[in-house]
Amino acid sequence: MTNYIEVKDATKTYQMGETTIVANDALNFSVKQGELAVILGPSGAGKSTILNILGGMDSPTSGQILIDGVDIAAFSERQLTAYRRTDVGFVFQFYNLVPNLTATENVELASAVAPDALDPTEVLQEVGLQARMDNFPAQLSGGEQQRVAIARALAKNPKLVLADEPTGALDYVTGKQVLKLLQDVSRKKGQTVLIITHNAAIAPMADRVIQINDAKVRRVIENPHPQSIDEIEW
Amino acid sequence: MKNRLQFRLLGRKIYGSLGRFIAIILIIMLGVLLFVGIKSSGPDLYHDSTTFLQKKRASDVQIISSTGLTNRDLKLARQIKGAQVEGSKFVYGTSSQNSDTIQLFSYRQADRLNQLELTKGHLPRQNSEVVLDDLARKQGYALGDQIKITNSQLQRQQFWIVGFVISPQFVNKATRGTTNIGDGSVNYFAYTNQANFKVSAYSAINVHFPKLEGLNSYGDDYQAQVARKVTQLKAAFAGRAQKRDQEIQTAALKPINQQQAKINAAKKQLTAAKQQVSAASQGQLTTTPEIIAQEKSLQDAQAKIDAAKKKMTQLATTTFYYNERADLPGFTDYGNLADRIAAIANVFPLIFFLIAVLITFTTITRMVEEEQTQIGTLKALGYTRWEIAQNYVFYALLAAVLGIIIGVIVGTKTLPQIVISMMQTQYSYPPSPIGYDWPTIIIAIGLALFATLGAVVYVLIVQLHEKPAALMQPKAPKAGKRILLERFTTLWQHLSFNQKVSYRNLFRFKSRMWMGILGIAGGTGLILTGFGIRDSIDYSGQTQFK
Repeated sequence: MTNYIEVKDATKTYQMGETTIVANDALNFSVKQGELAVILGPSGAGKSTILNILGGMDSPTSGQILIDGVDIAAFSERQLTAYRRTDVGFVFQFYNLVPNLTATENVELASAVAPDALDPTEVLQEVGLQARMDNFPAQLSGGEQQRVAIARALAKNPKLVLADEPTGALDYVTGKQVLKLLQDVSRKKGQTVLIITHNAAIAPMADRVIQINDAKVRRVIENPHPQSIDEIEW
Repeated sequence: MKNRLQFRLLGRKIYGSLGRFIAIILIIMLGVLLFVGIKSSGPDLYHDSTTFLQKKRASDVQIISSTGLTNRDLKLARQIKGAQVEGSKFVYGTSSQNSDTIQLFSYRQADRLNQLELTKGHLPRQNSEVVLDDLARKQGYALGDQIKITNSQLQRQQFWIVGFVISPQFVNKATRGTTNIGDGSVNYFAYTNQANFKVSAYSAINVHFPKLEGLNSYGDDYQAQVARKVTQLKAAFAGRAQKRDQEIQTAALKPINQQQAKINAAKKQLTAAKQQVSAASQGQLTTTPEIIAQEKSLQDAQAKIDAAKKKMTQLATTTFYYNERADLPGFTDYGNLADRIAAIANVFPLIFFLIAVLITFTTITRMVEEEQTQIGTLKALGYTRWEIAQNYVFYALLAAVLGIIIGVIVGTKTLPQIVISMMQTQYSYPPSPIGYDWPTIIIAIGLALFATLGAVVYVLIVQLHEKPAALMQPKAPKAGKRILLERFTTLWQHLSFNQKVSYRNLFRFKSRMWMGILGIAGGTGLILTGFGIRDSIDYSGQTQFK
């Protein structure tokens, strides 16, 4: 298997007044095609920063980000937009659904701009929301909203699915359902999935665990026998 | 599908915050309404006058002569290219009622220039009939009344009032011009058949140029063109004054010369009588007392004739006067008033519009900023800047267009009407259908679009430039800062907690502070100006005559 993602010396710094904050300090790691990777680390470690960079939502200050062999760190604004449009599906911690659109319409929002999009209704059925398709986000529970968000990410049929603390705002059971969905995406569809979490207990579900602390990659663990999420308890 | 989603989103956004949407429409509407309404009042007033003067074929130039005008003068005036020429007679008389001074004009059915507009009754059909100034109707004159107008040059003095009229020669209801009889000012004008006038000469020649119809009589263009026509007329009348003098002298000398002949004959008889006396008395008597008396009376008669001759040559000095519309009584006041209203329009609505722009700008800016996360999400999903901007641009455009359309229509249809109805108490131009003042409307559209679309574009440029990652994070609250007031420790310590927070926030959000200050300043300014104008108008008279 080739490396789908290759991060080389990625550094991101923010200028806050007179102080410079280093969010990512020369990160190096890679993720193979079709893998489920977990980025693990405490709050403020720089997990979200690297995920945003991988998703084309931010650019590193220096270093290379090779996605399928292409360095997106060098992309222009226009190229980054196209990259986000076709290659990346994003799942956010707080779902970020458009409140004025129904579940189906929120999924359509994504499928409308992607070239290889899937049928929004089918994707919603896949995530088990066939009964709530015409509901507005405010009428859905947190878990349902996150499933809509996952459906939205999947509807684009992206090569890469990025999830930023997808269970952060959910309870134990709902969180498990959401993680199961993401695991299935990697297992059954062969899409590369990256999940950010601060919860070390879910690490065994991943093919690869990247531990980040204090802006640096501390350890990368390859797990040849990942567990199904159903077997993991915390 | 993308467009369908966009429209659905737009519709729900409008519906979801209908209050805000309507508020933007209303404030834009008010701004446009005031601006277009007041600004187009000036042109509308001019339009009223132009339409009326054109319809009535008001004379552009009136030629008046100190010795009256004849058909020869009419012919001269007709030489000017494109001129319509008519002679008109008028005399000044005193009415038996209230001893009003009346300027009585000649009327012919065939007259085309300075046509009358009937407000009641009918135009004169018989010599015994007269139509009277509409002003007189309000002063107790009524249809069917008999009126006596005293002037020696009229065939008759008793007339029946058969109608009331407005004339394009007298548009200002406050003045009817001046004369040298009565108290010096004319109260009313009146028209009766030309047959009632004894004099053969015309009092005035009306000259009208159809080519100048449609031009604003108060405008520079019209005035320059009329000035050129007057120059042409003057050239055509060159030398005419002397000829006219001779005509008059010849005509006037005829009876004098007859008298002279009689005197000459009488002189001959006297001389013969003297010779007879001398022959009869064989040279002793050369004259008799009778003859002396006769000679004396003859000498007196000769002196009278000489004096009359001298008087004739002195009296008959012809001068031509060329009066333009601006010389008509009260004509120019109207233009000055219209100009003044247009001048107000340059200040008043503009300030209001500025406030409207300010409010809209803030509202829309806030709206876009509120949806920062949604913009970030859309960016993360791979929407391009334009695809994201569309929604807000359409929102702003829709609000602006609705506000502009309502504002332009309501503004054009109401405000000028109010101004015109105020002017109608003093001027007799009937209101003519009001058109849209496009140059003004275009300025208003530009300003309204700047307020709405400009705000959207401005905020979006700032917002869309940010990385989606930054947009999706909640914006960090603005940093609090110490303010100058805190240096005055004693004063600061005495402030309550709420006061301290208020003062800090005042300087923390500077744009909001300025928005508040400017809004209140503008509003106060407008109210004060309004009251100020009223006060100034009320008291300027008192101050002047104190």
